[in-house]
Amino acid sequence: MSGVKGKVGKWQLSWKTIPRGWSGEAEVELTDGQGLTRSIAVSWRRDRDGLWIEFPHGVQGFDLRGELSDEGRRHFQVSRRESAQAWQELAFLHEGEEGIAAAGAAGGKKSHRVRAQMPGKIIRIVAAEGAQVEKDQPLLVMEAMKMENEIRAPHAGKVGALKVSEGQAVETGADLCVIEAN
Amino acid sequence: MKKRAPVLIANRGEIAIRIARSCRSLGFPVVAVYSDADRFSEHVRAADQAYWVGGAAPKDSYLNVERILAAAKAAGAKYVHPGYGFLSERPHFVEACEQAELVFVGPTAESMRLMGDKITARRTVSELKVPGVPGSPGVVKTAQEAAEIAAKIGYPVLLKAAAGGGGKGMRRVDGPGEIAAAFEGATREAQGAFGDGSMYVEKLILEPHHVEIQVFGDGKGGAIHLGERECSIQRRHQKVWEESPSPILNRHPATREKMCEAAVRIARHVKYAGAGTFEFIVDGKGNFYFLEMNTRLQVEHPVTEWVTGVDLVAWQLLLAAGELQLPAVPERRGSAIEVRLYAEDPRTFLPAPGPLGLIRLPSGAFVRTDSAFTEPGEVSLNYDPMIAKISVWAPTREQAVERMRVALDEARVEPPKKADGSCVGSLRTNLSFLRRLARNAAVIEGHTPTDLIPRHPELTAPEATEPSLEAAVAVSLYQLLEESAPEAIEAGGGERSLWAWSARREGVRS
Repeated sequence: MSGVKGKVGKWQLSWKTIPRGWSGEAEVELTDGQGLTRSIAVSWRRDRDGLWIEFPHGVQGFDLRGELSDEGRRHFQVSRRESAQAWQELAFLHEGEEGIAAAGAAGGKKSHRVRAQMPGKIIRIVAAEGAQVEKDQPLLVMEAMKMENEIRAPHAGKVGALKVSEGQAVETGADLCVIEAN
Repeated sequence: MKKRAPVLIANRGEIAIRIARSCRSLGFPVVAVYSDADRFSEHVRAADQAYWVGGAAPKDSYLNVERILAAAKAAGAKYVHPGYGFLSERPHFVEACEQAELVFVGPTAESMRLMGDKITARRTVSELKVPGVPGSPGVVKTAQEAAEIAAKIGYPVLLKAAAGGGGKGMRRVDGPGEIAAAFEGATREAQGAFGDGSMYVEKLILEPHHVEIQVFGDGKGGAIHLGERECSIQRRHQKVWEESPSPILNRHPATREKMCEAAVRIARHVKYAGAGTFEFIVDGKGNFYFLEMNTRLQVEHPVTEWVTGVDLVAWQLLLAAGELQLPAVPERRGSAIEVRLYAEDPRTFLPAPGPLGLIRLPSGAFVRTDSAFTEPGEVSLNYDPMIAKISVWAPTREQAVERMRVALDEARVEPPKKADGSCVGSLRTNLSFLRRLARNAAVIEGHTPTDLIPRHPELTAPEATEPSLEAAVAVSLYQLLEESAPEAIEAGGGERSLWAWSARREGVRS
């Protein structure tokens, strides 16, 4: 019997057993930013959009939407059902992973994913793959909601991983290209 | 039930379904039309007959007069209800219906031309001594001329480029000392931006509120009003929250009387037929100015239906059938609010349509939902991205806001998801924004000028990144479940166990 440890925001979580399956129960120890620790038993049931969780003080439902961050890490947009509570960019970082994540965010070559803000069609590619661009230089032209929009470089760098071609239809959030900082 | 001739509904979506409901209750058979994108849409299923009228683009189908009239003929329809949008305010469509011996459910082409056009409408209205926003009658050439007009209409004024748009060539002027410099600057800017430096001078309305009066005319010179709706809360110049009675008019009840009287006077003068709306701008002191008239049923008509108990579409249909005697002004009771749930980004308000995996609309006492979506479905790129209208009624405004808050918390709209929780498609909704709106202190107190959203940046602020204990448990649990045994939570397996769970629950119930 082995557990798993990790972190979500300020919370340190230590699961006594690795949770599995569509529904089940488990015990978890939580430590907050002040170092206060409590241990609670939860049972859960998954559904298509997230989870129902029974806490010692009641049942709460959560809708979770998985997304990929600019660094390619998975995180979730979370909203509590039947409430106005919502959070963005939450992820469970396994113990030992935190260092890697911090290093990735702090140092090294930073590349920025350029994504479609609206569904639409690529009309023209202005900056070819491998091209050097300045900040705010147009990368491509997209037609969305009956308007032509220029997609511009978020910072100076080299255009890499061009994912679209002229005439292609894209959805919101679709990767268009990557700008690799020099 | 009386047997009546069929009504063709030249529209789609929630309004087509809403019109079909009134048709059915009165015994009018329903004829729907649909485009390529709407073959299996809910409005088609709500009809007795349905005719295909063209491609997904509106100009090929819902704006295709020839095909719509051909469908009416093939279906043996006698009436055509245009709904809102599409052909509802096109006088040439009214004439085409008449030529095809169909009864258009709405005003005549003549009153549409007279009142539907902003410039002719403002002229007609000013002849009846109803005020419009004071300003220069035409283009102003010199700073001297601008100063004379400003002195007459009173400061503050707005200098507006005649060729303008997007705030360019626009200046607020608070007093006579500033006008010469402002005029020069605005002219130079407009000349540079549009190649035309002509200016208009207009009174700047402080603390503007958007308030409209619902009227109903019999086409013979009789008309009544059905009270007001305040639709001040707007984003991108489109309404998101509409209510009756109006909070600003509650503070200035004499203004309400004057506005209702003015609206009825205009409607009688133009012998208006059917449902129409007069839009006004009301300032913080209760002064009102005519903006324009909408010669059709409005999106937000449920608000009026809640407080008056009138089925506006039923009135429209009975008037078209020659069976409506204009009733007395209905008594208005309580307070009603409607919000528009859109497929759009909750912070930028840019449209974000896409496939729909889950939709749960609220229910309960005095809660109404108008929607044309079921799951699985799709909010189409081709049409307006409105998903639903949610409206509530309560004896007081305070209780109505509370009821709206609960209704919004109950609503859920989610894109389809893969087994790992990642979304399919790009659907986002303004639900989180609407929930914040129902909790905003200014909204709760009824202080809602048209610039409420920019004044309250917390309404569009990003969501929190510091989770609650429960959210931390939820995220770690969800992620661990997925990592530990992805096959156990594959959609197929999941659906099965969900069915089993639901069957068990049903077993317990019976």
